[in-house]
Amino acid sequence: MLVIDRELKGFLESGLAIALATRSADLRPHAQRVWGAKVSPDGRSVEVFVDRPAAAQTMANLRDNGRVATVFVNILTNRSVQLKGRCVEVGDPGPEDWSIIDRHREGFTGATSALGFPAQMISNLWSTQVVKVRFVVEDLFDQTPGPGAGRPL
Amino acid sequence: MTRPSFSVPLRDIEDCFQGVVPSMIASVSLDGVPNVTELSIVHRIDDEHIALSRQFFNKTIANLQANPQGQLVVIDPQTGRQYRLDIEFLRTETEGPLFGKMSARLEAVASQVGMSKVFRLAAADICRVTECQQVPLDKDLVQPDRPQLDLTKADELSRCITSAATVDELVTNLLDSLAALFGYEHLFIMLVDETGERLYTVASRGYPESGVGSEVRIGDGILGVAAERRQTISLGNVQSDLGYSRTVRSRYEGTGTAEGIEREIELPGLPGVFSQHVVPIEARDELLGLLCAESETAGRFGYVDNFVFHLAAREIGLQLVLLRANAARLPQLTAQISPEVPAASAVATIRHYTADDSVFIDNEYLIKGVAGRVLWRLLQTYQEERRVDFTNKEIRLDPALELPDIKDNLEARLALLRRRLEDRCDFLRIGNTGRGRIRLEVGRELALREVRE
Repeated sequence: MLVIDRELKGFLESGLAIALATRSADLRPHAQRVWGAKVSPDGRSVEVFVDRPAAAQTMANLRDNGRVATVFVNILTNRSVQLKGRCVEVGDPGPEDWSIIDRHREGFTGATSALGFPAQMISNLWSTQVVKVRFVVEDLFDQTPGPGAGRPL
Repeated sequence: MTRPSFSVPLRDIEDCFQGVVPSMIASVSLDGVPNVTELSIVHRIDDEHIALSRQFFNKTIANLQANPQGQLVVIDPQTGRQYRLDIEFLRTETEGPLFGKMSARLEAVASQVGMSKVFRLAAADICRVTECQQVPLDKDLVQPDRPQLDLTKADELSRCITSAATVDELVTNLLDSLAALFGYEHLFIMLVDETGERLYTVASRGYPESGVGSEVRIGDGILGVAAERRQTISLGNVQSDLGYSRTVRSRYEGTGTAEGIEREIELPGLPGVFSQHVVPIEARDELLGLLCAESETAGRFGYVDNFVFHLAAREIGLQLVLLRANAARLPQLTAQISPEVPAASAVATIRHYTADDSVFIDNEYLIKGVAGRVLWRLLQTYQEERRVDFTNKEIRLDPALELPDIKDNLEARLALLRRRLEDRCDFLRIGNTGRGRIRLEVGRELALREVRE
């Protein structure tokens, strides 16, 4: 079974641009933005937080088949990693989760501000309510642009 | 053809397709594994087609070829609104006008970081859009305080351009009008030089240093590629685009396949620029120069600004051609002797190096090339005859200057010379005294020294 190491955990939990994809029974993909990630202590699963108002199709897809892909991008260095796996739990965020989400949004706003984006526009990207999605990691891919992009880690 | 009945028409969200905020694309393999990746720009082709700029996302295209269903999330850089586009992959293009336009943008950035021979557009993947919806949100958006563009000002802009009687007036009017009417903070105009191989800055507005006279080789960097490919290059996220190319560069260097990688070119213009919009100035299929706008805000120039710049570039192109044609019919010289005696201050030493026609004033470099040669001739005539009034025509026909092949560009060179003098010298001026006439103003006694090869 695949285990996320310390270094990768540190990367995934920093203020990155994160997107999540699921798919329907008839193989239609669905994408949405993610705010914050938390790697489990054993390094085998990851919790991510998706905007609740935009999550209806994501939830339906997860109930149907649970297949998940998430991409994590550091927008300042372009280091990029994709995790693929299966959803094992969906739920409401707790108070500790909200501190992860708030920290993540703060880090992401800092990074986008370094690229010249107004904080006001960035804060328009997120909703006030989120859903927690936990998935077991089955595959890891290096997606940093350049030769070797897409190679398994 | 009827317009597709999407929840949100694509043309209403044109700013999402300017490559300012990265989009995401999801696809699914035939065995049911989803895939998601970021992509820097989605191009809108028409009301129901988009093109994906493909450099590396191999899994995405492999998935789309097997299962053509995809989904994009794009972001409006002004408001932060997100939109989901359901797409269906149709075909891949590796040539043609659309591919040319898309590859020019990538090539321009790659060239800036020395990667033009290595990092190129692999393909344009064409997709049909089957639905476009706004991503639901549970709060009201905070609206940006940026004023909306008023296109009625386009008429005023056009009048400012077409009323210019000289090249100098033309470039000054254009930059002043763009700033006053539309609020653009940082602008410059470059013109193609006599060799057709370089561009030089003839006028600028909104910079700590004017940069007038600075040069770029056609084909080099963002400006050079825009000129070479005759394509508008609009970068709403310059630092991010450059960073992306630098990452690709370091990955190539890391694998030992660094062949073809060249040195990075220093970005001209605004330090810390986040938005850059470069529009070729053309007339009758001839490239005349570039109009460039920059901003310290990412996503500053939307597609409506693009209309303004295109309108301005087209009008200035036509006006440049008209002014050239008029310049050929302007009157002959009416000589005038300087009525003024230069102020009794220290003698200024002016050196002219014949090797490249560079001119130095009191050991400070001023200008070179054709403009340097013209200035030297004016100063020589002034010293010998105390003459201060000249016509463009006599300069153009002066055998000592040997300018026959640059006659089209003389006015632009005089404009450059005038601005360089304003920037670098406080006792020499070239003023306009009427159509096709100039007056040399000299505020100090001069000592001219010619340095031959």
